[in-house]
Amino acid sequence: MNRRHFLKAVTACSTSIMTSMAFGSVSARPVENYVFKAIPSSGEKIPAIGMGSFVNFNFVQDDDILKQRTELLGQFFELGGTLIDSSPMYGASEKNLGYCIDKLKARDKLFAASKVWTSSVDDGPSEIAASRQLWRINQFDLLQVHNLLSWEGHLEHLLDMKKQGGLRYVGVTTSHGRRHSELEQVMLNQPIDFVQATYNVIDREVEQRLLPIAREKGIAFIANRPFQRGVLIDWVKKHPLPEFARDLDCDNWASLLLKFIVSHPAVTCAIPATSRKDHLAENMQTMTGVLPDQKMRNQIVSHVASL
Amino acid sequence: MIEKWLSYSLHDLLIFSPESYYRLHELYNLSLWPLQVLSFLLFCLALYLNIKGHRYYPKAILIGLSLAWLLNGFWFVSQFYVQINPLANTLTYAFYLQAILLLLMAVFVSHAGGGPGPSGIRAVSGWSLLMYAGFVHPVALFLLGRKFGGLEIVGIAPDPTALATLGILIMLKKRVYWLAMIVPSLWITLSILTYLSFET
Repeated sequence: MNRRHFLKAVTACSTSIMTSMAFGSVSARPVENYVFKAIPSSGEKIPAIGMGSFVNFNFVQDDDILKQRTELLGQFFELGGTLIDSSPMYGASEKNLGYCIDKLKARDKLFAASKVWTSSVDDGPSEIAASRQLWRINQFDLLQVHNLLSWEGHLEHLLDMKKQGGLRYVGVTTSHGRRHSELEQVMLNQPIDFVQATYNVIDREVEQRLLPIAREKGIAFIANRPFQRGVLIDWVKKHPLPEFARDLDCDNWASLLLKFIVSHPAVTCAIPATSRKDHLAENMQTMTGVLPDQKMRNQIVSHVASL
Repeated sequence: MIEKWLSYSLHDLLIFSPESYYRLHELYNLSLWPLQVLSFLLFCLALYLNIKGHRYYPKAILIGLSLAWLLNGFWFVSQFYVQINPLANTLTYAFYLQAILLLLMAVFVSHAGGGPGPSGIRAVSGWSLLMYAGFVHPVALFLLGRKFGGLEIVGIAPDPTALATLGILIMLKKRVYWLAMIVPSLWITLSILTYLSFET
């Protein structure tokens, strides 16, 4: 564990303690009960719930919205979150995230995950440098090849960056269930630390091949689109929360759906995106209480399928 | 650039929320205020000259439309829309192309291009588009919940500008004007797809 890792671990613990004091109903449980998951390649533990920024941070420069999102991110960090995921594809998201993180002076709490997203391998380094400036950070914790776009060349550069000490982790992403066979080959043959793909109670294709491979090869798995970009959560919310959710310390659908995801042994982190503080609190509630075992995971799948 | 986007579905391409899009229009309007008033008055003047069949009407309206597309490309698309949609960089060139095309048509149009307007289906469709673009569109948006500051005014915002361009070109006499309908039609299609994506 180097100094940076140590500082992050201390920050995470102190954040959790503060959270326990400030948000009684959300985090009344002891800090040790928080759901942290280890990154297999390093052993570093990160909170199981992160923050996506696909739509929620993509807005035109506006003081009122920036203030609200700064408060939102402040709450995210207070509730123990660290990993924030973005991409140059997401419009103004990186720029707005950078403003909020700078305003909160939260760089030490942050696990910064972004992507390289350009078909030109030669443009990769300049795009990464531009992203870093937008985030207002010295270096990223994790950089991923977005949607496998020109992945061979980009991966070579990212692995080189990691070797030189300019990057801690390297990953590859896809979403919506696309290009899984190609992703599988990358996972099997490349020394990557992270993989990111869609996983939720409905979209479970990754359970067949990708999650077992991630576990076998020691690759951290980030689950994107945990609520199918809002469609899934809006749909299930039309139905009452099942009784068995109480056994998992869930009083809302969001934390039940997220607990299903992060309870998979190969999943490291889920990255729901939200712009609402009440929804964020529900998401972060996932990190408290018990996680479902396989029997309860099956029960969640069956129940949602029956709705 | 384009190949990066081809792997996404329509819904994936929408990387901003309706709220962000509406707020963008509010901030855009604020940056140009009170140009909206002048633009609306010029639009009314153009309608009057059209009705009168003024001999300078075709040249004047084509120059006016060219300036409107230039403004929309330079200010709306490349300064505002591009912030939330990286694809808008490409759109800027389409807007500039449209402005140049309209300007060229204005240069080469005959002064005697006025006279009585069209009749039949061309007149009905042309006037319908103009009326909708100038008067109905902002009211419809307001009734649908858009804030007053975010209303889209012809000449200033791309949707009503594209609709008005189509309406005017339909009523002008030369066949070559169909060439200038391509970009407005594409923008309107894109706009419809954006609103459809908001609903899914």
